[in-house]
Amino acid sequence: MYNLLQRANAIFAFAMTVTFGVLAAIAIATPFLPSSPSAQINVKDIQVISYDYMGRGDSEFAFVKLNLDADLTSLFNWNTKQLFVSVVAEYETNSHDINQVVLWDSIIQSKEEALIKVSDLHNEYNFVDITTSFRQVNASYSLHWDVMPYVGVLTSGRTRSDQFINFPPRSNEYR
Amino acid sequence: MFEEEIRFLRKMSKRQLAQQILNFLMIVSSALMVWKGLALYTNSESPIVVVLSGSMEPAFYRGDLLFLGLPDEPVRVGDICVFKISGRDVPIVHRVIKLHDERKTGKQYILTKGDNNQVDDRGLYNPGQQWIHKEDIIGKVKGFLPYVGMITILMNDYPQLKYALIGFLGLYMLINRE
Repeated sequence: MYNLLQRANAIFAFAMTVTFGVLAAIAIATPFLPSSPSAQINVKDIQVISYDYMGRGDSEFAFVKLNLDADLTSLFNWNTKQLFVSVVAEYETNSHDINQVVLWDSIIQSKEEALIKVSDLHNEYNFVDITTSFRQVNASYSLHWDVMPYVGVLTSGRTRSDQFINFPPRSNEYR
Repeated sequence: MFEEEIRFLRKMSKRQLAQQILNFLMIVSSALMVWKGLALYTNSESPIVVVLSGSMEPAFYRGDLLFLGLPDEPVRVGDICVFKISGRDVPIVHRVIKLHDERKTGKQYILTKGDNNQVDDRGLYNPGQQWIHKEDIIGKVKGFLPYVGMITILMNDYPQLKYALIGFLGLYMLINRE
């Protein structure tokens, strides 16, 4: 009555059910693990220089230098595969009410690396507005992090952006 | 090895054959209903996708399964979005790195980049296209299951495997006595 094929089928089906049960339990349990990340960004310098961008004429580029101090070690639990952190500048202009630009990002793959201390962080990506000029807006800088689990729901968080810093007027050369 | 089954097949009447085919169709249509129901619940036309390239490593590898949703809230920087460039079929899973929302129209101008790529996605967009918009996005990545999608990739790379699997399943349905 029970030949080899049926037994193999039964074992396989049971193994699949148990595996998915365990993965589901892990995925559901992970959001309940406590975490207390903290980060501090201090802007040291901003310079605005204008030059030709993508052949459509001069655009203003911002060069930002800042200090980053973050302790994201509490986000690392047994279901964390990696953390993706990014420094984001946010500002408002007359034509566009929400502007968010990633200045710098990094992938953190272990708990030791999650203690971040960068003292002269320059923006990795060009900081240019969708219009040609920043018109000396004030922007806030915050740290965003994305937690990527081994299995389950992706979560994210960020620091509050309560410090607004004005852009200087355009300068002619990079100091 | 299969003599019993072949004898059974020969003895099967038209009615039993029709019954087996109906069972098969029932299974296929319930799978389709579950899929479409999931698409409705997540508001995404394709709620489960398989990662096809390595441009988001080490977060997502080829063969991982992603669960998408498309809530009404606007896209924000840092979201991992699955989008299609207009005119092309292949969905791309990358992260939003720049966002400009027009005040008057609310239109979002979005630039994306794969974590493992050196440059942003402007090289991938259509010629002259510098931004993508909310309409191009078919979902944001909400959940993740590793390795499970490898089957889809194998079946795409080796289409004979697809036909063999369907043929095998069909045969199994027909000769199954239950």
